[in-house]
Amino acid sequence: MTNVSPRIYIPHTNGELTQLLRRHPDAKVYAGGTGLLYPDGVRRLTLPPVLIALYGVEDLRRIARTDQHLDVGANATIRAISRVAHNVVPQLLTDTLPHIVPPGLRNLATLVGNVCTLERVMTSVPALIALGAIVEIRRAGGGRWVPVARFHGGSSEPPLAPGEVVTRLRIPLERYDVQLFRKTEDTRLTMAAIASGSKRTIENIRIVIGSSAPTVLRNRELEAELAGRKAPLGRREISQAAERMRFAARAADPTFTSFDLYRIAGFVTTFLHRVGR
Amino acid sequence: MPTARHIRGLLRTRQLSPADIRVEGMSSVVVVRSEKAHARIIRVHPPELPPDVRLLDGSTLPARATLRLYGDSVPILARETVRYVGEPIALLVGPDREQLLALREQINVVYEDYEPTFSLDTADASAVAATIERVSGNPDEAFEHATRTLERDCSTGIQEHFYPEAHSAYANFRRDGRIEVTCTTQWPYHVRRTVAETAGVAAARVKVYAVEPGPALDGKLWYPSLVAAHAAIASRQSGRPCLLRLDRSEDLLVTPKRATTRIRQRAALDAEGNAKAVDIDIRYDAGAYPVLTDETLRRMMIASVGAYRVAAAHVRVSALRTNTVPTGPMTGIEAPAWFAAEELAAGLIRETQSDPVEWKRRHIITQEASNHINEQLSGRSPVLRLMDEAAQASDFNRKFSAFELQRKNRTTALGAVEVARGVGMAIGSQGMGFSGRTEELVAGNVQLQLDDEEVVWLYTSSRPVSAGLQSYWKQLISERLGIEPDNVRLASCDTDTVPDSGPTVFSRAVSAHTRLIEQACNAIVSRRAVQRPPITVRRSYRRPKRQKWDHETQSGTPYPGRSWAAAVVEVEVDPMTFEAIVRGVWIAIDAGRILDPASARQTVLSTINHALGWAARRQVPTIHMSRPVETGVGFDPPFRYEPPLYVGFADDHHTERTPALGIGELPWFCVPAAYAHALAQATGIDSISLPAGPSPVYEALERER
Amino acid sequence: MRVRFTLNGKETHVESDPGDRLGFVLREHCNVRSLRLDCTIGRCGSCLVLFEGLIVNSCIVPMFRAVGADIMTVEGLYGTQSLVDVERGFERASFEPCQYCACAKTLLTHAIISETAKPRRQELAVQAQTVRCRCTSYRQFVEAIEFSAEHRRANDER
Repeated sequence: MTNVSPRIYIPHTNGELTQLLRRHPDAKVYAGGTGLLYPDGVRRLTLPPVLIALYGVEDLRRIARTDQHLDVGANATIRAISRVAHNVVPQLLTDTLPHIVPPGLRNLATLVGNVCTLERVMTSVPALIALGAIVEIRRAGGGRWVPVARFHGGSSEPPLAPGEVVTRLRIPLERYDVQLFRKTEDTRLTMAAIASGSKRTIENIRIVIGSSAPTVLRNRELEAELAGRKAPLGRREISQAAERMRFAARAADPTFTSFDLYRIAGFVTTFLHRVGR
Repeated sequence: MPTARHIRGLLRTRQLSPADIRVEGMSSVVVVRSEKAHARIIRVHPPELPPDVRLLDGSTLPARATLRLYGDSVPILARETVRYVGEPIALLVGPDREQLLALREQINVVYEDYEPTFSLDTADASAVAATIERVSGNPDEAFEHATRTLERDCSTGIQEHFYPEAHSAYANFRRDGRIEVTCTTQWPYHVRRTVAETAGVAAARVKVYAVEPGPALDGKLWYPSLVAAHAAIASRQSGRPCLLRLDRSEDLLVTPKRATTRIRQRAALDAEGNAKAVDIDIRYDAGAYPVLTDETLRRMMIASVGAYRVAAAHVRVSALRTNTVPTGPMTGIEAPAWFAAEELAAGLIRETQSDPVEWKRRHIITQEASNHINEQLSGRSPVLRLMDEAAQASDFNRKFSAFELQRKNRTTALGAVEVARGVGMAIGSQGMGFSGRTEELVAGNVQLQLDDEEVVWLYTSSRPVSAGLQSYWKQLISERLGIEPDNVRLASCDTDTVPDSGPTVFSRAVSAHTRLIEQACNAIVSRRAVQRPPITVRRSYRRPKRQKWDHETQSGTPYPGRSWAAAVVEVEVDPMTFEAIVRGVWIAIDAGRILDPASARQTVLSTINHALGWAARRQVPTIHMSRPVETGVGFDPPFRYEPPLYVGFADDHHTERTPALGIGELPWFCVPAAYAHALAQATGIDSISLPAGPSPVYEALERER
Repeated sequence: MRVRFTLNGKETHVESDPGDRLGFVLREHCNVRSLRLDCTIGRCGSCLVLFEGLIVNSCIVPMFRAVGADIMTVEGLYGTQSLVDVERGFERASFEPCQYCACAKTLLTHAIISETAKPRRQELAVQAQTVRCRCTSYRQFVEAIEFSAEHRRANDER
């Protein structure tokens, strides 16, 4: 617990926000505040020395939709997104939302906060990567868009430079033929996959596995090979693909148990079985 | 049934939680706990303490200060040896709780390490704290002549009570030598006795205000006495009113849980695969300090063969002392034994390739053919009827055949695409009150007073009393005495006012206290004819004449009454994650006269959730003092969305005079086993242990592959 | 810091640390007895309040966030038709929460039926788990919310 009273800034525009971050590059950004949970039991939450809260910026609470994509502001809560009509939000995300935080935190926790937590792969990340989501990063005097995957891609470079903040999440709205999500009860694995195609040919396929490790698992080589194949896939093709995913998982993360690997293969098998059926 | 008015009353109830008490000059108390599972304390080095903070250790207590519970005992503060991580060593007392928490971090305790025992598998014979053993028939001969034997081995896991509020107690040692205590408890008079012994005063000088514990699941049975004793010592030594409250995370780590259990079973089979004798060995982890051992052992022993007949049985139940938290009782204390009995039955059904319902019908105990303790059932056994009702409501027979076919025809291994389904049925029974002669030793007093303004006061230390039962009692008294319902009142629960009704456990409030209230009403009616109010009547529990129990041979009728249930559970196993989703639970119950059907249904539904949580979910780890995974683990039932839940009460053949029996524990004794049977059918696993989550299912499949 | 906010329609000022938990301040300084701080990690739902019209666990809301906020607890429902709707719904479902969670379940029900006239059952099954108390099953709670919503609709149409 800090004895020095924290300095708290509450900007009202994106401009104020980025200016504050330029002046206080070490400040922590406060959105839903669910990162403050511990230590529990004590009467006071442990605040960082400098904190910039997002709730004053109206723009960051916004959820907007165009024909091509869904934009989610950095301060939009999980609950606010769940309330957006079901036919607007991709099914994969709809299936993911109830698993992100306990129900009582859904009016506080934000989807962008979930993406920006880097200690482990949070629940929404595999689905957002599978959907090809990108985030808008702003700093004073500029901005850029980067894929969500960059936050959990194992790069040694931190995704945000000092003075930068994520302001928006953009989820492409495409048509998918199969979407599948599973979070295991023991919370060890979060798995998401999508596939689309035409005339019984697979065109696009993404399978993303999240674990307690800070990187996600994706086998792009396998995805590239599956694209272009005729659907439905044969039993042999499916079991080979599942086996390759299992092999890739074992190589990528030695902490996977044999049961984890079995579940990853089971997920891939079930997903590929549904493609084209 | 609750009325809108009653619900409004609940919102405005200002029953003070001990944790809310704020008194001028009050001190806080923080417990210094052992970091070692088994060690000798060499020295306690406190940091420099501010003048208004005191550190109290075991040496400040009277020699006989111990928490006692029917022959078992738990130290109030460890004197020399610590036996579990979290065991209280000393108390820090001072005005500011947050300051005390910071000081606690700076206390350095020097230990000499001893070898700890954490698991039943590593515990040796010296760990056995108590055993009960019973032989009926001639099992040795049966095993000698057996064509073959069936051996089974299963286990059950711990479970957190997760009561609605962490433990807390307020104590004020007054200048006149009296001690006032406020705490949340199911047993106010046990708190009084423990506080009196700890503080070295006569019990009559201790007044305990008992706060309604809510759904405590027996987690507030004896541990409140320990917390209250700590608060009382602190108050005595500091001369100030003291409040001790545990944070939820501290509470999760150091308070009792349901015991883990290991069960080994052997059955002597004849050529047709019928069991001629069984040999059952149950060992449970009683933790560092076994509590309520005698009762737990006997209940487990009675339940060990389930509701089935067997010609010969050798049953041993042992409580093992380990270095985990004292596990103590949790509602449905003999649930592991019921579960194992049904698992053995499932093995026998498989051996004989019988239809499960048919097999159960053939082997169920009846009035003529009793169980291994020669229990006499009062009246016809309702079990067959309950099985029919549960089977019909769930469409059991059709589903069972269809899922059998599905499993046999499965072309792919489990875990590949296909959803696997299963359905299971199990039978359970709840005994009312303490078993054998113990109920007579436990105080069971209820007092009724009709005052001169035609107001009736009911005095009982029963806690918790559900609103359903409370309103039933009021209705009963109102009808029997011809008094306006609003003029029937429940006296507030403090030990200076209410008589000792004993612990509120094993459905005693429903089965024993309701009967005593009826008797007290009858007595007031007779006396009112010859005497003017105020009239006070007290009634105490007496064993019914027909209940014969031989303590020497541990045989006879152990309970004054039993309620019965048959449960069906249907599950579906996710091929990707091996998670079992419950698709439906159907339970048919005979519990005598149902006092308040709505309230009874609510009790059964919530208990089904807890029982399924125990059967399927990972539990809070406690052993290594690491942070618990999360609050609520082991509570959430394995539902994605709540499935159909059917509760049927077979009480149409009961009359006004049929006694009411408890139902609060019934689902524990049949729902977990029905879940396991369903999972076994879905996955093809032969033997299931609890919790049967995805990982154990995977491991079992790997072993059997 | 001095924090000003609206509590159950009344302007309120308290002196607190910016990191103090809102739930703690409401109990200790504003004498709100309908909420309790139990798990303090946003799981158990004992400390629910309506914060700017939304249900949140007040244990993890720091006081600086409460500046100027509109906060409601069960006390703010006393004497209103809204409370009657919830009570009637509970009564019809024979739903009887214990005294530990009755306030939280009442406030949650009010919040749900105020937001959605006809809540979907699947969504309710998730929302019902906001309050984790062993006294009742989620299924019964879902039924109770549905009945409360019916009462609310009937009143709104009148």
